[in-house]
Amino acid sequence: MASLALTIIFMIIATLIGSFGSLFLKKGSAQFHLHFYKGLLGIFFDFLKNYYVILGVILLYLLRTEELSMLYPMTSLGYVFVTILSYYILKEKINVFKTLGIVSIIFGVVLVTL
Amino acid sequence: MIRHHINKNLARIRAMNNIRPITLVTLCTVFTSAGQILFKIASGNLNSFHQIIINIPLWIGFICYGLGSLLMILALKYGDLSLVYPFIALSFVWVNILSIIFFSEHVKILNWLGITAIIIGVSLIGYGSSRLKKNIL
Repeated sequence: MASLALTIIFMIIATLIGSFGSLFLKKGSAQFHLHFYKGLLGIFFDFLKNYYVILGVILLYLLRTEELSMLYPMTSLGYVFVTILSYYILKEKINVFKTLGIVSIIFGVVLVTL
Repeated sequence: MIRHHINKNLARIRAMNNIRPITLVTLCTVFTSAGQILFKIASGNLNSFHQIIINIPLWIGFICYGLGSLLMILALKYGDLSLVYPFIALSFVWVNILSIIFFSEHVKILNWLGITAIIIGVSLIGYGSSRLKKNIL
């Protein structure tokens, strides 16, 4: 039983880290420009130069390792965390429809992964 | 003259809607789902170094994932995080449809209900976000 509680706590932390990963991706994407004249390699190096994008990708991959867990439906907590983070940190607007949408998506993800 | 008019109208429509980020993130989920299916196909032949090198589904899968992450970053550049992020749930829909087509897997009624809920939720977020763009709560 102790291991189950530990897994749940670990899962919440992993989902939270993943949400911060998305936040960093959002912050980094503002400085990301798609210049086709630089070629594919140029775009790749732009990608690497971008501190926030790299941090975001690393954090998202940390989350990936936990995805094989039995508690897959718990990854839907990420939708709650991301919405809270974008409301408080990015100052994005949230209304009733968005909240209802999040609730519906969480319900759907839990049903699909069950 | 006409072109200028069309461009002006396009800019106006883009300013009022979230068409660009939504299209980009939906394409992203299509690519990552295709990548997942390709990795599943590739996972049968990963026993030796030689097999990994000549495993074409594996490499196409990597390319799909790369394109997916690029599209995701572009979507985030043009749209709000609270709009773009929930759309990732659409990949559950594509993966289910693709596994029916490629692996003839059976999908439970409960899973279909979940898929319906995800589509309704994503539509609600798109609608709510377009209302906020027009400054209606």
